[in-house]
Amino acid sequence: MAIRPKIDSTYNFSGILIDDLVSLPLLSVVRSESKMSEEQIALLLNNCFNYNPEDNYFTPKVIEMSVTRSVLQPSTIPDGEPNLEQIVTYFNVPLISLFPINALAIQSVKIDFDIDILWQYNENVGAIEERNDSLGARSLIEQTAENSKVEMFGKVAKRKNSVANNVSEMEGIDGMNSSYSIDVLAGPLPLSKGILSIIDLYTSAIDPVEMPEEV
Amino acid sequence: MINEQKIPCPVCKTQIPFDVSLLLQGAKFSCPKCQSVVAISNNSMTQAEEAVKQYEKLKQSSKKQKDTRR
Ligand SMILES: [Zn+2]
Repeated sequence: MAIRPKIDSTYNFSGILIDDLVSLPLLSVVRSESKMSEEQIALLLNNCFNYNPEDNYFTPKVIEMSVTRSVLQPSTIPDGEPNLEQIVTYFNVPLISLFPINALAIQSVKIDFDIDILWQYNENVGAIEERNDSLGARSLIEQTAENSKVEMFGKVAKRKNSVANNVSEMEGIDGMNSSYSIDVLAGPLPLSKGILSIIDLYTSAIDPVEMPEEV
Repeated sequence: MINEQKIPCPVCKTQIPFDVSLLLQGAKFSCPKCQSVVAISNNSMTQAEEAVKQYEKLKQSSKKQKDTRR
């Protein structure tokens, strides 16, 4: 029989401010983003450069690439068919120009939760509204919006887990999990302008120079 | 998602889409316009393989797709 981790299905984030529910995961995303950048810089320095401790210089590692193209060559026999020849040109590019440098940046963060409003406090009336469901609570906020301060108390709502049966089994006896979820998606972003200009520079440098026509 | 990058064709300047990991592993990418083929030359394959190894290692360590459910 598989050992299942004990997860408290009754946990409802009580005592945590809504602001924190949103900002804490964002802060941790910023931290991991900065850690990722550090790792990327380390990768670039170690992987794309040779370091010389004597003069403290990083020299870019260069990789040889080839371009193969078909070229029609005139026949050596008079009036013969032209020959199709494969011409290979070699050129060097710095390794750094090939790496999608910021490919590992965090692309999006999705924080998703529903809140069950348990009760609210209205400063003007001084009344405590009792247990409302989330729909009821929303209409109450609208009504009291002009009357200054309203404080709401609630808990992160539970969500019926209908999709993954095994997950619900693992997370709660009643199949109800807290609706609080964070999705962090790391993905490729466009290359920075600086790198693009390096690539452009190298491209123009490897452009073949046309020979002047013989007169 | 594939890390698709583009490199200008050295012959006709058309953008050639390529995947850096595949390129560094020896894959060849051809220009959609003039059919020129861009690849890493055999002389640099060892260096390229090492680079791709390091890159994949970093990608694995930083690919964080969290889904915290409690
Ligand atoms: Zn081309």
